[in-house]
Amino acid sequence: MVRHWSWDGAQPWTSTAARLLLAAVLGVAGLLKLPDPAQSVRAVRAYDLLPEGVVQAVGYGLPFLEVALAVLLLIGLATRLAAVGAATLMVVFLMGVGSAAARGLTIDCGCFGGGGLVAPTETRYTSELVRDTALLGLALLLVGWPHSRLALDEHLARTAVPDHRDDHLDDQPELAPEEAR
Amino acid sequence: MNPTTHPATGSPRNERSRRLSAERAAAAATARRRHRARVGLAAGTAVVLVVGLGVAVQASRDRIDAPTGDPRGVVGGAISLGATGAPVVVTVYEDFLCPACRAADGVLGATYDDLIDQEAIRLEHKPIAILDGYSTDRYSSRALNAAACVVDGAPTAFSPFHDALFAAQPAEGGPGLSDSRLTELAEQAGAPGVGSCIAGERFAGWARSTTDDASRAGVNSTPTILVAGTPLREWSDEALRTAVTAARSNP
Repeated sequence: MVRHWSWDGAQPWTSTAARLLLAAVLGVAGLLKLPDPAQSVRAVRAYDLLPEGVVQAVGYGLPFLEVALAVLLLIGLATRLAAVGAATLMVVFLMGVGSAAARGLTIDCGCFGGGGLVAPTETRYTSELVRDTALLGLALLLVGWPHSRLALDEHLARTAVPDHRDDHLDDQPELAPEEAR
Repeated sequence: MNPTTHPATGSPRNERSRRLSAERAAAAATARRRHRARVGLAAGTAVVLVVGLGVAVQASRDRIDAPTGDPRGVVGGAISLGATGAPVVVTVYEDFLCPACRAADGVLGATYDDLIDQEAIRLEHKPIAILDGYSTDRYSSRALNAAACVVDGAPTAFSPFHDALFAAQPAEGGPGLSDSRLTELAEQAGAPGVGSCIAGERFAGWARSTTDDASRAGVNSTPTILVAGTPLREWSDEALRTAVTAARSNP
């Protein structure tokens, strides 16, 4: 039988790719920040947006949030929720970098560790914004189509709900037995 | 379309099996929804716990150890060179691992010395450690602690030790100078007997707090060179002299 390309056929693997890509970026970003909590706090402070008490908590907690979301996306557990979390993070990052650019700050985003001020010629706001927008796109794709291959979600659903079918199949008109010839 | 022609609604039997399968599908959908809510709740709780625990762990790792006090020779967080009554204060924030700091110091070092000799400026060194992630052995912090040990042991040895650290600056990404090498350089600079201070990181707490002070003052990158509080944008002999002259005539 000739199989034609269709979104329904390609979607689960597309979502898998989005999941793994997003997990890789978030995981690396979080892990690189973990070893140096003091620097992580300074990177947050450099944005000059949050009060000092909040700066500390965000500097300490953000890397763990990134790693936790990365793990969920990697194993495909609570994918939609994790994707909502990742999308929210990206929106926050976009606002942070965008506002730094708009205010004429010259800082490194600190996205992958480091952070703080840099020389005016060394800011990379445009590429940072483009990257975060692309990642936001991936996250939104997963919010819309969370079902994917190689995901714990699918496995658990099959175990927990005996006659589980992938939701993406629900959308397809399935042939009733008497209609099938 | 005439419904009676639809094959699925053609007989009562078909209709009943339709209804049954619709009910089963609805029950399955409910079960799926409940299952998804449970998984979501569990995952969300786990994330919150991980982040909360993480904040606590990082906060404890980040706690400054019992303050050791400032090293002797450090006043107001700075190591000052030159006449105290000099009209213009030049403040230099440097990280000993930062290549741009080394480059800037190479260009401006002679000008600093000249302006200090003329009693035109007082040079305030505020070395900080922000690049620990760029060496495999926290070299920024260790080098900063070593500088504190040197100032504490022999204030006049700071300048030659500072220059020696830049001359021997390791590349980013690898290991920094060893404690014994730092001790050697300190001795050559004129601060003997600081080996245990260097190896035991006696001024680790000071190094940490002086770096945080800089961060709170809005200084996060190195080098940051302030001429009477105004950042020097261009690192050249001419730019520095011009800025100092301007600060002098316009205090």
